[in-house]
Amino acid sequence: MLNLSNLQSGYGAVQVLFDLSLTANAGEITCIMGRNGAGKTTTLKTIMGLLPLMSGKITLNDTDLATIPPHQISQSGVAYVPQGRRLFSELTVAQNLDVGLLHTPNKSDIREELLTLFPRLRDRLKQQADTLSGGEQQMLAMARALAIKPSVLLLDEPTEGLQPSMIDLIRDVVLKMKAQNLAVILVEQRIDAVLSIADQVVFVENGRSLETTDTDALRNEPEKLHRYLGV
Amino acid sequence: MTDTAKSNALHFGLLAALAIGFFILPTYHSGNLARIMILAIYAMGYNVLFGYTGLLSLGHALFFSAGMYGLGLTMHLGGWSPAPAFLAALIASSIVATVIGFLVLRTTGVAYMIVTLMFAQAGYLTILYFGTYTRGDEGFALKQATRQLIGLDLTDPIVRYYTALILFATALLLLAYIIRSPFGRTLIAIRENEERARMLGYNVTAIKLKAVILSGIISGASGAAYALLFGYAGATFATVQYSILPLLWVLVGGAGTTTGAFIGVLFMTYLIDYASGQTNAYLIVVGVVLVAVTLFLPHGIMGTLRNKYAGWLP
Repeated sequence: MLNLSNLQSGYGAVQVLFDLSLTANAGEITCIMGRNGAGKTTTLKTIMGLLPLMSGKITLNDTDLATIPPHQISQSGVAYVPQGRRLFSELTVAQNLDVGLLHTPNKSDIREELLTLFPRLRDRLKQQADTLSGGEQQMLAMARALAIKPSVLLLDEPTEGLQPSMIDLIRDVVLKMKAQNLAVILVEQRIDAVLSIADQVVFVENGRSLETTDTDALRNEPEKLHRYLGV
Repeated sequence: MTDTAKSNALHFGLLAALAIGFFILPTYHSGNLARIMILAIYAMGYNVLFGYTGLLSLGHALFFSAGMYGLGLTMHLGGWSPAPAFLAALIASSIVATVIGFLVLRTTGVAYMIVTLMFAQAGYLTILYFGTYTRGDEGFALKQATRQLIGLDLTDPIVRYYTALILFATALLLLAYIIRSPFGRTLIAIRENEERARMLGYNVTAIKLKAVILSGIISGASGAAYALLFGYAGATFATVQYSILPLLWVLVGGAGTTTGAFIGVLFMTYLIDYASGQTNAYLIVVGVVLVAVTLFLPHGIMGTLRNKYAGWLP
């Protein structure tokens, strides 16, 4: 279980998060929603230690993530797929996967698992990463993140700019991760996608978590979407 | 033919061509090639850091001169024979690289460049300050009688050439091996996206320190070999010019390619050689050619070849 408690964080002197709390449970998909600039991506970067935590607590089970360097946060089992994928563009698909697998025991088994999860990558193993389509790049970014066998998966707008068939594929993978008991934190703007897969939604505004609600309840209260997202 | 087989064919083909080069080329050019091979080792060391890890250093002359003086002083003042002196050079350059790496990796980007430049200047001034031992700018020559290794006279052109070739081959094959290894892939991953590499669980600072040390040792080996084979150590090799040269060689030859360092040194040496034979204003010619290379071959000679024609080029 990943627990964020009263986070305050930001970029240098510019504070973005003022009071953000949420709990992501294993086997659940937690979606962070909010308008642009609300602090969604900042939350994920703060969890990963990429931004300094000014105040608050981040714990993964009994481990205090705020006190360890970013590479150890990843080694603790938190995988992050950032917006824009950030692949190693000059490496091939196979080499990108191998870089992700270096710290993992049973490399060949996990590699096979990932290629079964993303069969399209199997046909592209020797292809340079920056020559893949947007959807394939997203698959590779997710596969590389999953290579560390995480217990928590952070996804920042994974379906942004993808065609519908790719969106369905990514959605299926996220649901499979949930079935494998991962705690998934998803930043997503597409309401239909959120309502179809998330277990709970955390609404964020001006760096504050205003309300956490389960998705079933949200379906019956569309006025909340209007209130927090303006839709 | 797999990419690895093609890559091996390229490396061994180049080494074979160099091996027969001594008997085919005129004496002047074989002498040049020996020097080019030694300086290419320096460029390869620089390439580990700049081409593969993405760290632009302006202070590599410090590592080159650490190797040069590590060997030179132990032989000149200590009376050591070449083999232990060469080992001392490797140890000296690794110590210097470890200390400098530990300090400079606290900085990034432009600050990193400036700090490396400052440390190299400090090294140059240290050589001048201890002029009693180093003989400062004037430097010192290593006596011919001391430059003997297992009964071979290293001042003999053929012995010098093949010693340079053995050292060059060792560095080239080592680099090719490292780049294909998980460590090499990690260096490229850091160059491509440092933050992402960190997010995959890599201790980026520790890996970059290893890269600095590896780069420093290879550069130091080159400095030591230069002093041993050409019989001279001087403060000129610690100046900023010798920090800029490997950057130029690697940029011209192709950063992040295994053979680019050699091609860069070869190209620059013969460009200067030819232009200076034609005009006293040869630096203008060199400058114009470098601008043209930058414009038309932005990834260097081997980098452009790889991007346009042969994606397998290592």
